[in-house]
Amino acid sequence: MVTGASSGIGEATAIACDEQGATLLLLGRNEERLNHTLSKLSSRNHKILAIDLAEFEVVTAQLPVFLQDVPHLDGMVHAAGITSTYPFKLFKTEQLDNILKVNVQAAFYLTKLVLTKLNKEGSSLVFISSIMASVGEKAKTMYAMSKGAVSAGAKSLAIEYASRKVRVNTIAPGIVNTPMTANATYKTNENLLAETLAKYPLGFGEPEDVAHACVFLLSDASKWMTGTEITLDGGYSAK
Amino acid sequence: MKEQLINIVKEALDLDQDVMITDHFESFDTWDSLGKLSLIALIDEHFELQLSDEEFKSFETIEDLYNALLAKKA
Repeated sequence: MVTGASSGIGEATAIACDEQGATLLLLGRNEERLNHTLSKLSSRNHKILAIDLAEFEVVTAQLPVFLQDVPHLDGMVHAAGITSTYPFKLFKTEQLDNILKVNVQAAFYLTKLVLTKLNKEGSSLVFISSIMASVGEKAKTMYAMSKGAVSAGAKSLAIEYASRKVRVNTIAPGIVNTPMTANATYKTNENLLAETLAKYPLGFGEPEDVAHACVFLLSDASKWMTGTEITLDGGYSAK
Repeated sequence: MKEQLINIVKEALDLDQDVMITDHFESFDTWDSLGKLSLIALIDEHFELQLSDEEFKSFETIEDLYNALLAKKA
């Protein structure tokens, strides 16, 4: 299962998993864009569900129906999320509520609902966190809080479910060229773009860079890994 | 709206001195990327108008910004 599959990291992950022969369940908010992702995949056995994961009542009602005929899940990549670049002095509790709802609550509520569907022989859950979970940048306080919660939550989840052969890991990317970051301030302002890019020894990432790490974490090649975070940031945090 | 915009600029740029509509953005020490980001966010919040970074480049004074906002409202 891949969430946020209609664009960016989620879409690239769907493509990478398809190439590895996976049968996929693709979740995203927009049906048309999910179909667009589907059109890029080779297998015809995949299924899509257009759903807003932050609408918990809808998720409660629709997800079990969607999963009814699915024998089991071998893994999940949760790539759905929103970003925010907002100076802290403009902080509002409503905005923090919203970003925590989308980036944190939706992730873990979905996880709870799929637990009984996970393959008893072993499964792997991958959450897309952010390098902002462990380092700081201006105007990123609220976003960082949300991703810090994802990274921290995933660790305890890994411990709680290890005996049930569920592995839980996170990926912490730096800036990746996706539709989500296309309109970010650091992309639209020339000076700021040059300044931000200079912090990335290998430049900004591409969705495929994250997708390949997802495939690794989903596969048995990472069978001894759980409760771990893979930093993928082109050297940004190595300085 | 003029008075409101001046107050928004003061809030965005953390200014406690008197600010005139003819003041240049460059004359404020706090006019940096974060200040600009704050101003864009506050204008969106108070006037429900979105300004791009590109548009901001042509504004030298608060009045330039004011006139652009009026034109957008019209």
